[in-house]
Amino acid sequence: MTQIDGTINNAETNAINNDKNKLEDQLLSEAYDMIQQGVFDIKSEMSRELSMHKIESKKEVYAEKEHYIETVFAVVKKQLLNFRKTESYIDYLAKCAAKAHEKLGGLTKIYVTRTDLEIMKRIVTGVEVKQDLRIMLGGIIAENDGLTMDFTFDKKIRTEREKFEQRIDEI
Amino acid sequence: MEKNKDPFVASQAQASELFANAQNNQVRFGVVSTAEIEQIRREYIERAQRRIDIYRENEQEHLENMMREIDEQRVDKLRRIKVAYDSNGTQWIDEIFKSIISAD
Repeated sequence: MTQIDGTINNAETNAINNDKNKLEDQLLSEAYDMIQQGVFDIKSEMSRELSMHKIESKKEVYAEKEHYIETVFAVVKKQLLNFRKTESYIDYLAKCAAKAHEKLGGLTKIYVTRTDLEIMKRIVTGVEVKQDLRIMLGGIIAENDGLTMDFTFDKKIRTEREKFEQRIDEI
Repeated sequence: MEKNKDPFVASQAQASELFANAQNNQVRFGVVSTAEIEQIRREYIERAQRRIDIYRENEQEHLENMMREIDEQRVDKLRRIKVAYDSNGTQWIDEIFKSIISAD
């Protein structure tokens, strides 16, 4: 083979290899893109599935916690209803009124449930006793010069419930 | 007769012949490569798909493990809440009730 033959053969081989390399690079790039897209889709799909599973699991735990909280507070409310029929409840109302008087520096109004109106009027004198429809479970809201103190069972139940929810969360 | 040929002319003729061959090869490569390209492309796609399938299998296994872990944690949490309620429920109710009826 002459030198010129070799040169031409090399040029031919180089051109072919060059084309093949370019083609391979292009196909590799296509395959790489396909894998990248596939991995992204799988990751998204799995992540979505995992999130759904976590949410479902949390929902179940939350529902169970709520069930116990409701059970506990249903019993407490029942006990409060019974408590309102006792002499101790009248003591409770009197103590609340005295405490409010001390803390607020006097009393101008006391709000109670309709059923507690007469009891409260017997406990305090010189104070306006009114019905407040927001009070459902008992207790009083005391007022003096625009300042109020809330001793209602309704408010106390809410506060106790928040504390109890935290307690259950810590289990 | 060959011996009498001018070496330069002979080389020129050979060069033309080789160049024509090279051109033919280019064309042939071009024609063959269409099918060849598709074949190579298919192979690459199949390989990429295999990689994706393997990745999916691994991720699925990983996901199932994580889900199992979440389930175990949930079951454990539910069990702990039940045990706590069974042993302390009455006490909790009593504490809450006393706290509510306290005027302090």
